[in-house]
Amino acid sequence: MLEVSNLACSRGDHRLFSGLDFQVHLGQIMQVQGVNGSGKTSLLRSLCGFLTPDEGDIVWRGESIRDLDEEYYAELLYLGHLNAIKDELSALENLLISAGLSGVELEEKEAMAALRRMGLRGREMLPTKVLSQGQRRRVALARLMVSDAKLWILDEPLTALDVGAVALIQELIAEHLARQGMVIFTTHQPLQVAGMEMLTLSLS
Amino acid sequence: MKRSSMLDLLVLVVRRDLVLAMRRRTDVLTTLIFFVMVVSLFPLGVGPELEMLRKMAPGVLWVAALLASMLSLGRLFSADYLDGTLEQMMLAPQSLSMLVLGKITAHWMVSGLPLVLLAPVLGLQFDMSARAIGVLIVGLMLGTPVLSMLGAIGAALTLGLRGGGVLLSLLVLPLCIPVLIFGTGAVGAISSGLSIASHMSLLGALLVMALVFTPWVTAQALRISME
Repeated sequence: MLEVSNLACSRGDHRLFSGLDFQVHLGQIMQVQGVNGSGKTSLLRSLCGFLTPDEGDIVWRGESIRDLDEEYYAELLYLGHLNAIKDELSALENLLISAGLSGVELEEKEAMAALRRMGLRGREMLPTKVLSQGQRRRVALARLMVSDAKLWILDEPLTALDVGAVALIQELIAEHLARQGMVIFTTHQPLQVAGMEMLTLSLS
Repeated sequence: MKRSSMLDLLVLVVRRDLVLAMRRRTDVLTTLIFFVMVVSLFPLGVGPELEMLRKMAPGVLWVAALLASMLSLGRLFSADYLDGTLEQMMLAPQSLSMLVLGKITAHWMVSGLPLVLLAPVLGLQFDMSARAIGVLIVGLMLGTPVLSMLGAIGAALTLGLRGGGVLLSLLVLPLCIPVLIFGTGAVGAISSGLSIASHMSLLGALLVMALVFTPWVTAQALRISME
């Protein structure tokens, strides 16, 4: 499904990685490992098409993502360091809008249910500026529940989350993999997905 | 779950930006108050010479509208850039140009349209005739969207730069000169009893051209700024 061959990426004059080859197939999960500054985020951003790699190809369903563009984006969910939520909007509005931007028209009921499962019961209508860092991350992560994307690219999804939320994310990832979804992620915290073999890619 | 169409996405972005503008009303009001203040300073500074004021009026109103629209351009993409929403917009399954068009539309409705609506009141300070005011409004109606669209290119190119505000003005103001010339020219023409058709046609042509090209150019500029 997702095939990467001979990928090289640099920021400024500094070469982050080169000659990177890997494949991720349906129902598989891959963790990108590496020390700070080893290019994990740059790799994930290249996979999203934000960065143009110096060399190499990223191929989705047999076609380069450069040529696919919007068809690829319809199947992709990216969650970066930034939460992409607006302080002035409520948790519910934020979720409805971010789902809308990813092309999914959400019923208010579905959005409420997702936020509640995310542990935000009673906070759905509050402007997100009054929420804590972890709660905002939860609002952003609620997108995982309402998306029908095949490929999830998660950059440090567990930052600022408590133990309960981490368990919930693991559960969501397991459900996604069971639906033949794919996940590529980075994390510095341990993340276990029950009964799943995890592929690892080390950048050094 | 229903997939949304291109138009749905456009409407979503416009509505979102309007709601955000309503919740951050100070931003909108500063632009408007700036426009009113700048325009009102001229009659006070120049003195009550009606003939001179009438001549100056279109130029003053247009330049003030231009500067006021510059004021709000810096914020067009920067908030979305800083909180990561812009990344998500680029990953939308519809063309980024469409979302950009939505953002420009909302920007115009918030910072361009109110100027158009205020202009007749301000025109009274310059003893403009009813016909001249009419022409001024039509001109602004055609011209201010072009200012927003040209400004969007500059805003996208200077995204995330330090001191981007000044650079933005330097980039965009020269591009706005044709709009300014035809906009003020139309009011000048009606005051001297000439036809305004040519000025309005040119403004209309600028609007159509901007509508076709600027969203795409802005989208490309945003992609470059995101790297």
